[in-house]
Amino acid sequence: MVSGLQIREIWQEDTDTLMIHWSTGEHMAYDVGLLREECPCAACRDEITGVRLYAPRMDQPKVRPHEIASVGSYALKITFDDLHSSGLYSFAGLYDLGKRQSMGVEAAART
Amino acid sequence: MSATTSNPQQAKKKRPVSGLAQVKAIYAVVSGKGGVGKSSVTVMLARALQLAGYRVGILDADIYGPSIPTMTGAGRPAGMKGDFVIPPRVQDIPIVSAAMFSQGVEAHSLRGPLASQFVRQFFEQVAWGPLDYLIVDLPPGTGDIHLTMAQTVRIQGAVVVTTPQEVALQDVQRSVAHLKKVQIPVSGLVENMSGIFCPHCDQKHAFLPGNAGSILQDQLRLERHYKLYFDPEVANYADQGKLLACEQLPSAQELFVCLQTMVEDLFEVESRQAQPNFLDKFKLKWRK
Repeated sequence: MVSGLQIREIWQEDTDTLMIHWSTGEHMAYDVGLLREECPCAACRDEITGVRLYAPRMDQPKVRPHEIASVGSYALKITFDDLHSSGLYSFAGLYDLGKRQSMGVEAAART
Repeated sequence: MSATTSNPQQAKKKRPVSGLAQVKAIYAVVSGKGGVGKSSVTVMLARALQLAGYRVGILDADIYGPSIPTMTGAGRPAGMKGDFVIPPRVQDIPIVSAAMFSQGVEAHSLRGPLASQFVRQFFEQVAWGPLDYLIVDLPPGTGDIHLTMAQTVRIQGAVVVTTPQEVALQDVQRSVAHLKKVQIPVSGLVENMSGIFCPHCDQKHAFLPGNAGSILQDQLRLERHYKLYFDPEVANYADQGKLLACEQLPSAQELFVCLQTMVEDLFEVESRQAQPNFLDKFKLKWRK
């Protein structure tokens, strides 16, 4: 885990993509639907097992953010348009998610 | 995965509208353990900063056991300026504490959300004015007040206070783990009460077992820690509300030399950590 992560820039790339330019110099793209699925709050993720409790409904429109705000110097708070806003996305967790996504994309590209 | 964009729309920094608008840096004095002397260290550190030529304020965030008004002789707020509380000043240091908003020793029996609201207001609805440093005295533990502070303001660094014993070490380690989680760097480590100054023989003697300061210094990979000794005369000054003048005591000279060294080191760390290119407080509205 990279410690002391900070955000240099953050912006909306398109209706589905959040971009973050990290203090490491890396740029990472996040699908906002995946961010909703990865919400770390206790209602969306079992605190003991870590199992995801939230699943997007296929018969509903894709959930997107309404607003993204900084929390202190360590996390983001995302208010989604399904009115869910209780998860705090730590910079470290977001960075790891970006890395995992990156590896997944690369692995898929090799197959 | 990595991507660049030709026209990034950077999130706009939120315009400062709080009482902290003119405060350059905030430091927290923390310890998981109660009774290690956080409040005394807060006051003496503030005084050491002031003696070094900086403008300093003190925020007593220990809602349940506020002691800084007793130590400093700070009275009640001077009034209101619009929506902002005008803090009382002692030796030109603005001070705010929960004790100023209660009668005598009336207890603040507040649940977490209310205590958090209290602390948020101390940060944002006090007319702190232009300050180089705001020093925050936190209660023991790692609870609501600590989280609220970490989520409300950007803390430049934390001064961690321990006493020598093993029983303090474990609580302080929890506190350090919390700081790491909320990305507040440990700027300095103080081992308080590492000895007692004897007014009869003018010597310092160890009176508590253990070496928590050295252990924590190794664990935190800090270059040094600062040993402060217990001086009954300083304690007497604190009881009389004169702690902000204790550098006048002959027996406290060595204490202040140590505090001045810490202040110089803190600035050095601060300048090394200065990262002005990072976003501070921001809000991004999502376009549909």
